[in-house]
Amino acid sequence: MPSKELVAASARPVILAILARGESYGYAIIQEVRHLSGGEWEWTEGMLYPVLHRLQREGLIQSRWVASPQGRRRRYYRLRQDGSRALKEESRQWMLANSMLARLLEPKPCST
Amino acid sequence: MFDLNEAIAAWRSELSAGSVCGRSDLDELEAHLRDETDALQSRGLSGQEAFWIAAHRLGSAAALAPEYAKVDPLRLWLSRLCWVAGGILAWHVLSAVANIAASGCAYLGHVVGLTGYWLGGLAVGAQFLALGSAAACAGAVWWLVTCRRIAARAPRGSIGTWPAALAGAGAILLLTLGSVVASALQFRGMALADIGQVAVVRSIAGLAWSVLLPMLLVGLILWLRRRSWKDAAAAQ
Repeated sequence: MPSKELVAASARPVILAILARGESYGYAIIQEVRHLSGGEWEWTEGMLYPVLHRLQREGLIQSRWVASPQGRRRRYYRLRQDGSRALKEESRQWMLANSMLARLLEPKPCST
Repeated sequence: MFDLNEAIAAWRSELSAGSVCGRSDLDELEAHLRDETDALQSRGLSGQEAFWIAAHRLGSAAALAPEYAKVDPLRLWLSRLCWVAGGILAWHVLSAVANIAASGCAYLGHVVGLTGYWLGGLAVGAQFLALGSAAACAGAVWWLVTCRRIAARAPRGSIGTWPAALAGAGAILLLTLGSVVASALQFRGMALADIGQVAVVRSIAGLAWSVLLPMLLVGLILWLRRRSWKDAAAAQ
């Protein structure tokens, strides 16, 4: 299981990246994260919403209420242009961290 | 028999305590809870089992509240300020009611022939009785409204907001005026010595109250702090 800190830190880029694929709502985002991580990445589901609201306050995403055919109202979130830019920057940082770790952990060439 | 709507209404009221989650936040969380409950039920769980697991996955009110509070601290403090202002207004109304009762009783006591310190004692007794009954009435109304809202899931503010606000403002104005008029009328026809003795007894009671009230408030604050520490410890 990943640490709490890693899950919290990665929540922002993960949410932005999911929304970059198209409009979505909280429950569907949670399902997607569970599916993508093969069930290993478990969020306290309610914690997703304060993160979404913070992203919205920062102007990175926007939301609207939509009624499902069964009459259930859901709040859908969509990426804004500033959100796309933020995602690019965040993913650059994560890729950098990833490539640093990969280079550090790759097997050392034999000196003999 | 388990009733999902009733369980969700109780869950909502638990989350809405402390005014951290707004109505739209609660609607959003409820939609999630219902989606999750449906999904679990479709896998063969009973309604009750599905609800408990879904609510557990969503997180407790104690765990969610601090996260929601971080999103918009200003909104939270404004809503708290609103409660403080409401409390001060309620206290103003209670004082007016108590003063009307005290002055009215002092006047009636004078009419039936009571004099001096007896009149003062009667006024103070009436004042505290009025405070106690007004507080009990307010408590009963609050309890009834809360229970009925949970049972019937009645939305907040179903009465027209403006008529209710105007009626409330009118009642407060009338009570304040009534309190002033009652204060002025109570001494009509009383001997000067009687007026002085009534004033002495009422001011002694006022002094005792002004000492007791801060002590009660400090006790209440300490008790609330201890409760919130316990909740925070339980949430970890």
